[in-house]
Amino acid sequence: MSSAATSAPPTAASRRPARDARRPLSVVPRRVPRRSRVSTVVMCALALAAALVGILLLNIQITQGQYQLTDLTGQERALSQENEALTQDIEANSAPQNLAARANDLGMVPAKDVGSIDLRTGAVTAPSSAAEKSDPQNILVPPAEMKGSDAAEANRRAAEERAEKRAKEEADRKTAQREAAQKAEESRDLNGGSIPAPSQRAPGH
Amino acid sequence: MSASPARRNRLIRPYTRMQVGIAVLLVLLLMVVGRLFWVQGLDPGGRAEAAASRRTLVEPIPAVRGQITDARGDVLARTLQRYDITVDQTAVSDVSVPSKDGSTQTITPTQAVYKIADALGMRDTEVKDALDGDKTFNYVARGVTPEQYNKLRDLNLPYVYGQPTFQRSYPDGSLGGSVVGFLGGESQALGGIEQTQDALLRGTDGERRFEISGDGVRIPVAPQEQKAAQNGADVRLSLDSDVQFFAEQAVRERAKQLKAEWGSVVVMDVKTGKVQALADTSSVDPNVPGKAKAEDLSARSVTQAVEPGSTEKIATAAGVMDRGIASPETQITVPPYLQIGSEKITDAFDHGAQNRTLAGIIGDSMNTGTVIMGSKMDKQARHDNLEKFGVGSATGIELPGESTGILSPAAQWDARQEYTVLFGQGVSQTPLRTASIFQAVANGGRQIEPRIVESTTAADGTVSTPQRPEPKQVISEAAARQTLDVMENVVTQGGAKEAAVPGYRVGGKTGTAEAPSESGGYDGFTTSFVGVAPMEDPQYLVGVTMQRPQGDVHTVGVTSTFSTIMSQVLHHYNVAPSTTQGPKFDMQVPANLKKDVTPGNALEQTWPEPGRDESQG
Repeated sequence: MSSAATSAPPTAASRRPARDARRPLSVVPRRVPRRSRVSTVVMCALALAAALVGILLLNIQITQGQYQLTDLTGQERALSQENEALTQDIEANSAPQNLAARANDLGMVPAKDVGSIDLRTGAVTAPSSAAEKSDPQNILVPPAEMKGSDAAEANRRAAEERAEKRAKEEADRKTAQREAAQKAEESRDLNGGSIPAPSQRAPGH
Repeated sequence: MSASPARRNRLIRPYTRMQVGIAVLLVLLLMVVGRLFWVQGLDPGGRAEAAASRRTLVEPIPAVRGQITDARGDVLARTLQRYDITVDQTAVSDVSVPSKDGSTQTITPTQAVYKIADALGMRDTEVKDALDGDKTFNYVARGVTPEQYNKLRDLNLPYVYGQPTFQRSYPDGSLGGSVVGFLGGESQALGGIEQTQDALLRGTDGERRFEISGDGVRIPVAPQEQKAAQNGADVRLSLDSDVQFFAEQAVRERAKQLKAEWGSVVVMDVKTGKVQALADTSSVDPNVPGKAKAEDLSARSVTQAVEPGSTEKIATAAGVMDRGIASPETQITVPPYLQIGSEKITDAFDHGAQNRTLAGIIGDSMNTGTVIMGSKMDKQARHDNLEKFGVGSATGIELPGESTGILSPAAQWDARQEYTVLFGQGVSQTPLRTASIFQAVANGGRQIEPRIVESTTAADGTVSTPQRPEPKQVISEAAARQTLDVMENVVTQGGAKEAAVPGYRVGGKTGTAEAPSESGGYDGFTTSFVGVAPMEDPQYLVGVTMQRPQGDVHTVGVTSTFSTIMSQVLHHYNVAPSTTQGPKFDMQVPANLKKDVTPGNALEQTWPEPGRDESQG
């Protein structure tokens, strides 16, 4: 009994410390889920924000692209317009009548004849005569009255200048002729009168 | 009182607190849903449509009109981007516009006038007139260049607008202008190739539908539809602008010398009937068609029928030789004139009775001799001969307003006309038809109706060539060869020595006819020369016609003009110089003169039928 009695208290006594001693052996409590719930919300919020920012960026990107597209379209249009204007100038300058007029200005004359080489026999036929210097040809085909081309404008002005020059030369020549005729008239000896004497064959001539 | 309300309260309370609230919300929700369904699903007011149409912008995509190019691809007509500048006159007032550095400045209408005038290169008064008024739409300028439009746009004036448009540009101007044609004020095709090939050149307009936001920028995610424009096809002509230039320059020089009413030139490829030039002494500049005279709007070689005169003797000689009536060396005694009943037929020069060969008759262009040999064909045969060569019918060239000329039926010919048609009087045809008769002779008797459209290139790049007319055997090859020899004789020994081209064998025929006056009768002449080269294998044909040249009939010819143009054409196309000599026929054989031939009985004379062997050779 005493042993029991003695054993009993220690039992109780020993049981308590034993229980206390086992306590650390209990199952490790799981991590607190509360922290995890907070992080989920944060994560969700972040994801949402990221998605929103993403969409926003994407939208900005698309809009930016649209502005860039408008910009590039404008640039393309400007370039093709410039190209068009330059093509128009080239065409104005290469119109046959304008080329011929400029060749004239440079003192070129149409060839009378052309030489030829017979490819089978190798015989060379020279032109019958060389081109001769002559008065500039009067180009009778007027340049185009094309709108919106500086080159066409320049060609038109040049043609007008040529026509004026030609008209002036024509007038000068006529004046010179008239003056020469007048001079010839005056140089005749009228013996103080105004009516020329009838011409006579002088003896000895 | 206390028990039953309490019970009722207890009974009602859950409804009043929760369910009534929910019910109210549900009703509201139902209303919202109903409204939503009403607006979105049924949409009786067409709101969605109205909204979409407010956002939607329909922009037409105009089809670009095709180009017209010459045989080598040089552009004769091109479409350019231009802008029409319009103004809302009611909105013209002081406006503050942003400038580049971000500040704004106020621009008064007067300042605006100066700025617009500077940008567009117009006169201040013109701009002021365009801006003054109370119209909501008025043109300030039409067809301004992109450069000018950009300057105008930099002004940022809110009441001035630019509408994109197209302008046709013709770099060669009046050179070949009547062939190329032109457009009217509202872009309707009014002449030349522009008119006949309009369906191909025009294309089909498309449209673009898209939605725009308030600031005018397109909503990128909104649906858009686009119907692409079908651009017009390019048309390539057989016309060569260099040849066209030589021809125009030469015929204008001659017409100026002779003070002629008009002149025209046809240049043609003998083997194919392709036309390389249709020159006129004056023609429309398609850039400014309003400035042109009415008669300059079309190619005269196609629209003007004239009496061909002596060039028609080639058709008579060819017909005579094709029927085996005579050969180039057949001898015919020609009296000084012919007296047929009451009709007297004379020549352009005085001569006694001569014994001529056929080549000699054509060489010196004798009406009398031509009538003697031509009258061996009966009336109907004379008519059929000309008809077979196409006289009296249009060639079908791709140009508007072609004249068919007049060849009346043989039965309607009067006593004189039945003989004069043999030398090209009492019949009319276009210079192009005359050229086409010579083309048949030079091409072994095979006539190919002239054409000027070489090919068309659709917007997708497919090239199509129009159906070429079938060659038509008009006279036998042997008769064609003989006729060519006779034509060469005209230049080597006959009356057209000035038509010669150094280095090449050339043949042709002069023509002089009286020009019918508008007031009846005749006034002035129509002179012409049609010729081909090189004679050993004719490749090119040049026909020159001059209407009402002033001066003596013997000095107003166009043979030298023919020579100038033909020489340029042969050099231009690198034709090898001739190395052979043409046959030389006797023009006259005085020894065999038949003394019994008189003006009255000349038509009854006979001659031995040319041998088969001779006509083959």
